[in-house]
Amino acid sequence: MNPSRTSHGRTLACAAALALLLGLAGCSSGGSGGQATSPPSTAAAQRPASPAKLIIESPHNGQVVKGGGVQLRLDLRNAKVVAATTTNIRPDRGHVHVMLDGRLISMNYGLQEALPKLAPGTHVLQVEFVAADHLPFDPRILTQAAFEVRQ
Amino acid sequence: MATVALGLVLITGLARALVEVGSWHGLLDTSFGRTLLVKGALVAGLVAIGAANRFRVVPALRAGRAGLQTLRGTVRAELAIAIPILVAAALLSELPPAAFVSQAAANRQPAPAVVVNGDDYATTTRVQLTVTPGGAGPNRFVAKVVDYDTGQPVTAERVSLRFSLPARPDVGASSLDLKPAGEGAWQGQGSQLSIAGRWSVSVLVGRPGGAVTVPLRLQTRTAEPSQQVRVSRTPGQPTVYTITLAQGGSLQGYLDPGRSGRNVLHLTWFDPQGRELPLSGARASATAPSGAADRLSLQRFSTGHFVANLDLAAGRWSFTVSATSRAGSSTSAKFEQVIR
Repeated sequence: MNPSRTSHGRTLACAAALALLLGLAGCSSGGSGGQATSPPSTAAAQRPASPAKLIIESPHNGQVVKGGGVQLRLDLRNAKVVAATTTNIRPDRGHVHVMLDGRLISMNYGLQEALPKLAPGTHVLQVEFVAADHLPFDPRILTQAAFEVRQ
Repeated sequence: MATVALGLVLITGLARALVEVGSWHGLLDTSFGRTLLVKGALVAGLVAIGAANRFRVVPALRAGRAGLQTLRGTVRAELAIAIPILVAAALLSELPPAAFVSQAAANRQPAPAVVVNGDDYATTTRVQLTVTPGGAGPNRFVAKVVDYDTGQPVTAERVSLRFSLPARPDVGASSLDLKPAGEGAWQGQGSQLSIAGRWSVSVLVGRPGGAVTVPLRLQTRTAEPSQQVRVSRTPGQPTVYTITLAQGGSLQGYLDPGRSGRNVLHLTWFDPQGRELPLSGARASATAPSGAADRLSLQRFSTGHFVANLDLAAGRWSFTVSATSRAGSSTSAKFEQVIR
């Protein structure tokens, strides 16, 4: 046995263990993304997974729309849209949040709507099937399409 | 190499401790600080044993002056110290950082009180009456009696308070004699403000030249309900704040995506049964990391669901939200989120 090598190995292992320990202490707040007024209790409430599949039929990704009038048409499978807002949620019941360029523009209890008149240029549409309590499922049922509006 | 790594670990650990502890008070007076102290002492012990190994035991082994027995002993000692360090680290991961605890203590509101001022009809005497806590029930009354013109404490022989509730003639009038507390202050305790409402309080100040009466109007303070906030954090999901409302029910708020840039703030009110609570209106304001507060433009998406589109810079944001139910009761809540 080479005592020198062993010693170096052990000192390194010691340093690694220390790093791990100090890192653990650091984790105490590293994981906190936000804080609330007193007394905040943190609970990782498990969100249900949903079998839903949400597809943007129109405008499809890369579509060029002339004139600015855009009709949104969605296809939702394995789930139903319901109007109720409640904390008693079901994985296959919910509604659709429609976001255009990062702004929530509507909350749909149907699968079709006319989007507001859009300025020429590229726009990003995001639609999400959310539970009846307005919170996302886990994983999120979120899809998006980028389309271009031309005069 | 190992010494450099150890040095780096100690420096980064120290930097982290400075951020999370923040002050001597945080180090000495909070559970987090004390646990960190214990852990620091243990780590120092571990480093000392490591150094002894490196600089004494190993050279001694090389020179044949010591046997493996010595090394075994120091390894056992290291293990004996490492295990409590693990326990301390686990404890630290569960405790709120001292800096946060200190901040929370600093944010705590001072003892609530109701303060009313008045003077007598002939403008000779001014009275400032402080009622603590100022709600219906037992209170402490402190009356500061000063000269109307000079603001100097007046020499009074006696000061008493007489209470009546004009809106409720069936509630009998009562009185309380105050005792001198020095510098023109008179104090006493009692439960004369028996029910919530707008009370009429007459302060009778007996001065050597005669008595004066200072009429005051006092609205009892409605107790601010303590708010319970549950924060749910799940990877890939927005951070969700569920605030239990004093009147029953809950407010659920979340920022999507909760990162700097464009965000959507969702606010949904639920009744105690978890159904959407129909609201007649809702208001919200956001306080930016700079301290600037702005009223948010809320859009109603359903009877109890409101949304605001926001542009958020990185930093700690605070949201104050209030709503009035269709039944007429008001609720308010507050939550904070760090945007990265």
